[in-house]
Formats: sequence, C-alpha cells, structure tokens
Amino acid sequence: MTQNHFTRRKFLQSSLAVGGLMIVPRHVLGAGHTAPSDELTKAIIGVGGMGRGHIRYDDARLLAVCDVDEKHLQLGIQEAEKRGIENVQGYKDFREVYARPDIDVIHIATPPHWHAVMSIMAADAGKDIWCEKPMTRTIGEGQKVIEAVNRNSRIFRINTWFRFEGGFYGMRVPVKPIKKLVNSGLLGWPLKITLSESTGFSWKFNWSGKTDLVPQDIPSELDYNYWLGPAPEKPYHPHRVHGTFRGYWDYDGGGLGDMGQHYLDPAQYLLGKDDTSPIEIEMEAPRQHPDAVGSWNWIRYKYADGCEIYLDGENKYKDAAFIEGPGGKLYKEFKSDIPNLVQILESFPDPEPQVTDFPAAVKTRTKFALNEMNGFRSATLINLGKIAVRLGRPLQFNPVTCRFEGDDMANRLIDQPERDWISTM
Amino acid sequence: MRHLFLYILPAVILSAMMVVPASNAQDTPDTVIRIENQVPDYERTSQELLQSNKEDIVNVGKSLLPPGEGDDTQTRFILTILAKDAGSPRHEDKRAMVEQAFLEILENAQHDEIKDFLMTQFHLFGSEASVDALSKYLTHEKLYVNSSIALLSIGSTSASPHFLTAVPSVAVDAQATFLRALGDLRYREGINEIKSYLTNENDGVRLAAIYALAHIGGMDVFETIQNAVHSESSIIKPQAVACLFEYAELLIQEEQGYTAAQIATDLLDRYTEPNNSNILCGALELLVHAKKEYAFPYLLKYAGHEYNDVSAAALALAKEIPGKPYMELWLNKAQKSDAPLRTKILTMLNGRDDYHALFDIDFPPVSLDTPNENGFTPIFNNQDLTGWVGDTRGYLVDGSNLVCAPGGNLFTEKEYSDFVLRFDFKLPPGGNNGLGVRAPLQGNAAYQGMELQILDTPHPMYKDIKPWQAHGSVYGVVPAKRGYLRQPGEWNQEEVIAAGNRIIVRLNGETIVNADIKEASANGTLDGQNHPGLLNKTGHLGFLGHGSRVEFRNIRIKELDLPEITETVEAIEEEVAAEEETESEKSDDWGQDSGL
Repeated sequence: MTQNHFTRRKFLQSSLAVGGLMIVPRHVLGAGHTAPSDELTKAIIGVGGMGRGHIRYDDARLLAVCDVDEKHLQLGIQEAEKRGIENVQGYKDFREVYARPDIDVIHIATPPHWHAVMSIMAADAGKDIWCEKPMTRTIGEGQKVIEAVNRNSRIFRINTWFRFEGGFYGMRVPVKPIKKLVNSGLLGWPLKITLSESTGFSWKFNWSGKTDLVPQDIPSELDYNYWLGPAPEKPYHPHRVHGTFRGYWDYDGGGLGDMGQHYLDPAQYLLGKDDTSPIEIEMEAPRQHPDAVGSWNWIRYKYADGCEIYLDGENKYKDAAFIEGPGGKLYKEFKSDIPNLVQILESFPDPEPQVTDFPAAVKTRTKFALNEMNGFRSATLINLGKIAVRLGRPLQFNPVTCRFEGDDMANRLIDQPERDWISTM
Repeated sequence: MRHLFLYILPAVILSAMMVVPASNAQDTPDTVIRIENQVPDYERTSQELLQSNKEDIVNVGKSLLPPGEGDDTQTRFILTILAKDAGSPRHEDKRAMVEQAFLEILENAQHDEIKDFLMTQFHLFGSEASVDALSKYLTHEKLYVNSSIALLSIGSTSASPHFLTAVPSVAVDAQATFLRALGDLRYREGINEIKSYLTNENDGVRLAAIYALAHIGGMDVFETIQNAVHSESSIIKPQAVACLFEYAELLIQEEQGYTAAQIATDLLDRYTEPNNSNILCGALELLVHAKKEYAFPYLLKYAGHEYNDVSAAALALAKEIPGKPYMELWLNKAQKSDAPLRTKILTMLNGRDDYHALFDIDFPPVSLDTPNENGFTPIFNNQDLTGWVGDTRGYLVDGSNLVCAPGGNLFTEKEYSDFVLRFDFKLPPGGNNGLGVRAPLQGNAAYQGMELQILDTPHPMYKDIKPWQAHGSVYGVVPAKRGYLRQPGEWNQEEVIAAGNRIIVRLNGETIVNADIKEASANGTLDGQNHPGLLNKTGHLGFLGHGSRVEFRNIRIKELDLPEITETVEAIEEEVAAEEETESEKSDDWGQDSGL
C-alpha cells in the first residue's frame, strides 16, 4: 500500500518560495484591482445627428465637440447646454482636440470615410476611442486601425451593442439566449443565418445616391474641403453631405453600411466567427454606379466550415428561419421547430460573460466586448459585400491574409487611396 | 457580326437617349435600371466588345460628352463595365487590348473631365504599359489626383521617377501625395530629394517626407528620420512618431533588430509625459519585436510603471517571451512587489498558454502503484447495460463497445468516492461527450457534480473554446493540457484518478490534468458559474451525451481507500513556522511515493 503521506516540508518549501501565495485562478486576483477614482473625459468629433446622440452617453464627462460645419457645431454646444453640461469647448480642427492632455476618450461620429484616419490619429495621440459604425470604409483601413490601436495599447469600441445587450431588432429577444442555443449544439452545425424583413431586419435601400448631381455653391458654414478629408475631391452638392452621405461609395455604402454592423456583428458572434472571415462571397445586384450607391438583391457569405450568412434584400424567402442548422431552426420571437426549446435550454450554461462597461474597460485596460479585432471582422463583412456588389461578381477571400485569392482587381479595392488633406489645412 | 454590332450600338445609345429626360438631376440608379430594361443587356455588350477589337472600343469612347453637353450615361456605364470585365481573371487575354483602347481614348479626349473619368478606370486593368501616359498628368492641377491613384494602384516602380520629377513644380497637396507615393513605391534613389522637404513650411509636406523616408527604410536614413520626427511640431508629432514605428518595423524585417531596439529604448527615455503613455506602450512592443531577450528586463521594469496603461501593456507583452525561466523571474518579481502588482503578475501568469509549467513548479508529484491492472474490476460487462441507469435507450452495445447513439446521460447504478477509473474512448470528428464524476442522477452533472470533458478539441469548430472546455478539463474549473488526443476514429486510453480533492487525468500516457479542485475553486471557478456539486464526496459515474456518437470500451475501476486529510494550507504553514522558530531540525522522511 502506498504511503499516502503528505510531505509537508517539500510542499511548503515550494510554496514559501512565492511568499506563501498559491497560484490560484485569475478571477480571484482580478477583483483586487484598484481603479483610478477620476471620472473619464471625452470629446465628440462630428456633431451631426448621430454625434449629438453621443452627448447623451454617460461614459465620460463631455469637454469638447468638434465639427467642420459651424451650424452643427453650435447645435452641438447647445445640446450639451440643454443637458446641463457646462463649459463645452467647440472646435473645427479635431487635431487641436487630440492635442489636449485632459481628454481621455474620443467619440468619432463623422461619416465613415473619416473613421479610420481619426481612429488611427487618436490612438497615436494616446486617446481611447469610441467609434461609430461601420468601423471603416475599407478593409485595408481596418487593418491599419488594428495596428495603431495595438501599437498604442488603446481601448477601442464600436457604437453598436446588440451582441451584448438590447432586443435584437425583429427577433424581439436579445442575442444572449440565441447564443446560448448555438452553444448548446441543439441546432447542430454548420449554421445559416438569414437577415431579411421576414426574419426581422430591414436593409434601408432608401440610402441610395443620385447620379448626375449638378454642382452647387458650398454653404458658408461648411468647410467642405475638411469635410471631404481623405475622400476624393468631387464638386459639392447637398446630397453628398450630412443626412444623405450614405448614398455615395466615397463616404459609405448605403443601407449595408448603415445597418450592416448592427446586424452582422451579432451574426458573426453567434457563429463564433470573431477572428475569421468568409472565404466566398456571392451576390446578385443591378449594375452599380461608380459614385452613387444602388440597391442589391442578395448577398451570401460562406465560411470555411460551412456556416453561412445570407442577406435577403428582396425578402424572397418569407419562411426563412433567422438561424438554422441540421438540428433545428429558430425564428422571430424565439419560435422554433425544436419542441420545449426554452425548458431544454435552461439546463445549458450561459454564454461567456462579456466586458460591457466601457469606462471600466478603459480604466483596467481590458478589451471591450466589441473591439478593434472582432469589429474589424464584422466591418469586413460589410466591406466584402460592398466590393462584390461594386464588381458585380463572386469573390474568393483569404481570411488570414485578408486579400482576395488571385484577384488583382478586387484587391485594388482593399486599400483605396486617400487624398492628402493635411497639406491642404 | 462585328459590323452589325457597330450599327446596333449607336442605335442603342440613341434610343436610350430618347427615353431619358435630358439632364435630370433627380436620376437615381433605379431610374437608370428601368432604362436598362429597355435596351440590350450591358453584360452582353461588354462581352461583345471584349471579343471585338481596339477600334470598336475606341469608337464607343467617341460618344463620351463633357458635363452639360448631353447625356452620355449609357456610354460611361458600358465603359465602366468593360473596364471591370477586362480586369477580371476570366478575361486575362483581353486586358491588354482594352488597356490600349482606353489609352487611345484618353489621348484623344479633349475635355479634362472626360480624361478624369477615364483615369478612374485604370486601376481596374492598368499595367506598366499605362505608366508613361498616366504620368503626363501628374503636373496637372486637378488631374494629378486620379493619375497618381491609378499609378499607385498599378504599383509599378517605373512611375517613381515621374513622381519625383513632378514634386518641385506642383502645389502642396500634390507634393505631399507624390512624396507618399515615393514611400509606397520605396524609391531609394529619391532619398536626397525627399530629405529636402523635411524643412518645408507645410505640415502635410513635411509629414509626407517623413512617411516616405520611413517606408523606403534602410540604415542610411536612421539619423535623419529620428531628428526629423523628434523636432516636429505638436500638431503632427503623433503621426510623425507613428512613421518612426513603421520605419523601425521595416528595420526588423531587414535584419536590423538592434537598431530598431535602439529606437525603442530612445523613445522610452524621451516620452515620459502622461499624455505620451501610448508611445511608451508602443516602444515596449517594438522592443519585444526587435530583440526579445533584450526586452525582458524592460517588461519587468515597466510592469510596475505608475501609468496604468503602460503597466498593462508590459504585462500583456509578457506572453511573447514564454518559458519556465521567464515565468520564474516573474514569480520572483511578484514576490517582491506590493499586493496590487503581485495580483496583476499572477493574473497574467494564469492566463498564459504555458501556464501548465506552473504546475511543475508548485504542485507536489503524485504517483501510485506501478500501472497494472491489479485490483481493477470492470463496470461495463461488454454485453448490455446491466449496472447502468438513466438514458438507457440513448446508448447501445455494439460488439463490446458502449456507444452513445447519441443519447443523454447514462450513469452507474453504484456510487463511487475515491478511485482510479480507466477506459478507452473513440470520437467522431467534432465529438462531444463528458465523464460525470461524483454526480447525482438528476440535474446537470457539470454543476451538480463534476464533468471531465470529452471532446475532439482540435476540431475547427472548437477553435474558440475556453481553456476549461478542452478535452480532459474539469469543465469550467480546471483547464487540461492539449495536444494528446489521437485522430477522430482512433481509440484513446484515459485514466482518471479521483482522490479526495485531487483530480488527475492521464490521456494516452500523458498527465493532462493534475489539480486540487478545492483550491482551484476557492474563490469561485474559472467559468464564473456555480458548481455546487464540485466538492461532492461521492456520487455516480456517467457518460454525458452532447449529440455525438462517441464510443467507449474496457471501462474498469479500482476504488481507493484514503485516510482523512483535514489540514488546510494555512494550518500547515503555521505549524511549520512554529517548528522553524524552535529551530529543531527534522530529517527528511520522504516516502518513496509522496501521496496527497
């Protein structure tokens, strides 16, 4: 019979070597962090409709607003005052905002063609970032944002949240129970997600651009050159800016750009595809104008493991499930063909908890639930769709190199050249 | 056929023009699509043009009109479709012809706006052959934009001298664009010329010059770049520093890691203000990329930095330098640090891939009787489910294998406390099951008892699982070492030792779990869930189906009869401290086998 003799001395010698403290699981230690007591401070760049919405967010104290349209800037300052936020400084040049050492977080609420440049410059200036969706207008820009955020060890989040809170549009339930269902394996594998009117999602084709715009005079309150920034110089027309910029490839991508990240980020999260991309993109769409965004009929993304996301722009498949697999289907309002699904799911574990407190993430330097890495991947879904639709043909994508396979032409849309706006300041 | 086409095409355009209201600024793509339906398919038109010759395409170009002189929307559509098709891999053999046609149309075009439109198509099909023609427009006040975009997308280095020659004579925005282009094209020969722009009065031009030198790279610009960056004005300093980082990364690629490390340490010395903390973070990362071994002492030092983000960055970089010797140095540092820093260091160590090396440092070795089958009794009779309860319809016996068909939970009728269990198992691809230990017959065994995961961990669909979900893990509590499973379809041998709070799992001869579950869950479990049954003293064994056809065989058990271990770690420490105070020497009375 073995000597089940507890050799205390040897054990203790090794434990004393670390001052008597045993190696214990990380969560034990995480609790002991001392957080700085200071409140965070922020500035909002771009105070149009979306940007003024950021004034309401209570993540940090608002110190400054910035806009290249004098009227918008005044509206922004007034909105802050209405909410009792005093001493908010107004700026036209966001670089002056970045140079202020007393501002911690930059909220970027400009049109998407500025998102990458402003995020990168914010990171290089030592700021943490809360960026509007879509994360970037091109795939190449997204990679550069990741580089800058990583090099500067900044905390970056995107302004969408459905993967961790809120009712998920027409599904009428949050994403969490759907993720729990996916994790349980009850639906089987691989899975297909359909985003359409019938499954609860609208693609907003009203965000189309106009062709044959007749140039007009630039209003005195708008610095159009600065509004354009890195985007190509094209003659001013009111439809290109402010409420309707989404209709132009130079700045965004229509309804796909507007709603894409809200819908596709949770879809990506559900399928567990946060660190990869589809390998095949197919679509059907009318000819696209080189400047004005048009509509599309459908876009299909296929992953290497067989998972699929189908954007049904025509709402052709009225009976489609939101998510389905070999084992079952899930529809709006959590209806399913699996009997007693809700009861069965009770005995399964909840999904991994997520980091959803942004100020806490900033203070403890923890990656936020929706960050530059997984946000890049869901923005890439949007950008892959845009490229496929603009080229009018299917594409093969390499998720590791983030380039199209043997497709020079498509690769030229990864990284679209930018105007040197700095020299024009 | 060709000639017939030539008659049709102008007729097509003419008829299209007749249905389109003139210069309608309200046109949307939808309007255009309705018109499309009234004319032949553009796809076919493009295909026909591809099959014809350069002259036919040039002819189409003749219908291009400047803005305000008529509606040439159809022509522009056709040309853009043709450009896209010409650049497609499918039409490789037609690309050059289309390129020549566009070059001719460009040459013939009288109006700047038309030239501009044409140049925006060159990125789709352009090649070396277009470089000279496009370069002509670099000195044009407006056209330089699309000309340089096209040249850059073609990416030919033969464009570089054109860019360089154009720089002195153009406006500042063009200058900056061309300087950056020279950087992107890595035009070494331009270095001296580019240097002269480092003192330009325009911020954008200076920054572009820094960018260019940074991307051309090489040791010969080392001094120049550093000086330029560090003396820059505050409005563009952050971006200048970013260029310096890019330059340093290039140096590393060119085997100049030592110089890159110098840049990093210089940055660490220079930028110590709080609002430059991000530069310190970047410098630490650069140092690790440049020279790992050299970087390690800096990581140790900066882990304790007063700036929260710098300390976090240093700790996050720690995993880039793996291995037991470094972990011991971290442990040493932890011991000498105050509580908050010690906490951070130990958190970091726990999260690493090479964490299992920590087990070697701390946990005492456990060995039992030499592995033989003495004292083992089968708990599966190789014939039927006698002795098993639960989902007996979801499991079946195939030959002498116990198969999860798939089914739910199948438990032993008997309960076990402390034991050695041995069995073989075989997984399908992506297979998922679990071994319930000290579990009740009802409820979720992973939480009401304990579950040792059975999983085809290497399968792609599990690439995002948590460490404590891998095969062999005490699910949610103790992660298992990975990499010892055989291929799906092959039999694995597993041994599970449950002795009091010690759980050991050995897979195909390798120890993949060796943990004290009481200590592992002392202040909560890794998965953050409640595991009320984790410390059950006794319970059923079971197979927990999760939808896969997993097979088992040779299931046998040897029950252990353990003495009660009641001391806690603290009590032992106190005792020993007391012993040492009295300075009495005890001889080591090691047993050959150290038990629990």
